[in-house]
Amino acid sequence: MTKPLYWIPTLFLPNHWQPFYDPLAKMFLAAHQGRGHIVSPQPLGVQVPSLALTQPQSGYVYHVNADRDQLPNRDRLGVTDVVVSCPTGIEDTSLARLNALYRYSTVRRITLTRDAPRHPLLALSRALDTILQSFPHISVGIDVETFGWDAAAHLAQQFPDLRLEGIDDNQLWQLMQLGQVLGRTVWLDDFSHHPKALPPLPQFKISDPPPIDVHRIPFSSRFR
Amino acid sequence: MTSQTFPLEPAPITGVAKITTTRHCWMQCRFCDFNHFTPVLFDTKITSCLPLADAESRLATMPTSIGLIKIRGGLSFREPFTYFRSLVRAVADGFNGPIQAFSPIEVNQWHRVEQRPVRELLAELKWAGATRLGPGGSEILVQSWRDRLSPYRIESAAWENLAQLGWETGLPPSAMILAGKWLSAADIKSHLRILAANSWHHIEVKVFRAVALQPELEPMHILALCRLVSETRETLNDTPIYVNEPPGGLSHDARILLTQAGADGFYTTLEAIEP
Ligand code: SF4
Repeated sequence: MTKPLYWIPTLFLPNHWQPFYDPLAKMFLAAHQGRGHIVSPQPLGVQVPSLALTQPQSGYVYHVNADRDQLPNRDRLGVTDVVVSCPTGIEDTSLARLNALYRYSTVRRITLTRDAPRHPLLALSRALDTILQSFPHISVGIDVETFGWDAAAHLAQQFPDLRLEGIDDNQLWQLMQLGQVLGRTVWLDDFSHHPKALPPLPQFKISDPPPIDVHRIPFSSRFR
Repeated sequence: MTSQTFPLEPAPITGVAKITTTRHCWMQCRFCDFNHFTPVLFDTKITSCLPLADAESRLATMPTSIGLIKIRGGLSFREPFTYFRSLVRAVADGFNGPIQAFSPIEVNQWHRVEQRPVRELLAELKWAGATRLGPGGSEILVQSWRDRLSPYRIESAAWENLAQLGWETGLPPSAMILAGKWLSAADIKSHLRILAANSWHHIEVKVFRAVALQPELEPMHILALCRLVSETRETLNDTPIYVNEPPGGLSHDARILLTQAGADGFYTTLEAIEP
């Protein structure tokens, strides 16, 4: 059986807390049939299925950007979602950061980003191969926005286990089309695992040739 | 799960100047932008083709990175063959590189409208400075699709015979496949089998772009495009394959993927000269 593709709509709430974030999160979930991942600076006042915080707090998943965030006191990390620039070699600094996080926390999932000039497709393909083999128990994903759809499509074909992330609502059609070429169904999901299958794209039939009657002008029935 | 190797750089990219004589065409191919219906009646208002003076002034300011000039057009009943011949002549005067001028479809039209022998028309194009024939008319050679998408075209067998006459005159013909999502694996196979029966200067894989008001005609996905290119490479193993990019071009990654699939180069439009 082929593996499905997952669409995980994600809402990023900015660091400065605003009271309207609660209703915003509610609206976001309502717009995605109760599914969707939320990354927030602090716990929300409403019940959400899948949440990660940008500050470490006990009992919550810590969403950490390994390239940007200052790592706090190491024993407070707990479970983490790591966003890191794709390491392409043993010397890579992002690999060192990923290793540090791996040692001091329970890494739940890794999201790789691409730094276009530094990451040709060849390097990415090899790096992903290594990463997927080194962390078989961690869910690895790529950020489609920085990878670009062409690279993401190829990598999704090459590595069926790869998660595609950072796909917003108006790019869903690209994911649906990818599912169509690869023959994989697309499911709407978040990290609480209650996926829902998305209906396939509509297909339009190409009509039969227009009958030609040379005794009438214009002779194509399409323009009468 | 094995890692694949990719070229670090894509195959060479040729900058193309595309000269369009007119955006009106009576042939109504459904995948084409030029298929606005313009009935040929006594009071039809159609703007005339690209004036020669315009073409000359635009060509004078053309960027130097142009490696190929393509001259094409919708089919017009208004201009005589001599107009097209003069246009090629004007282009050839200011450009030393290859000029891909018109296609068997236009040659057939001149042949039918002006009642002149095909070989004579081809020889005059060659004299005017054309170096090869374009692939127009071979978008899809499978007859059932031809009937659906371009019913007023000459049949594919006639198209091929006409194109092959180019070799005699010294205008090497080229052919293409229009990469649309509607093609099944079997369609692609039979199209390529028809192409493999003849010899071509090069094959263009044209990346289809959606046409207004026709949601059923969809472009091909990049992964399907790679499969198409590698299948073309397998079937026509010593003919160069060029990927004809849509307006805006392909991404660097797409070019690398297609190069790996077997493309020998890319045609990207740098300059469009239109009426
Ligand atoms: S003959 Fe060529 S220009 Fe005319 S409608 Fe068909 S594809 Fe377009």
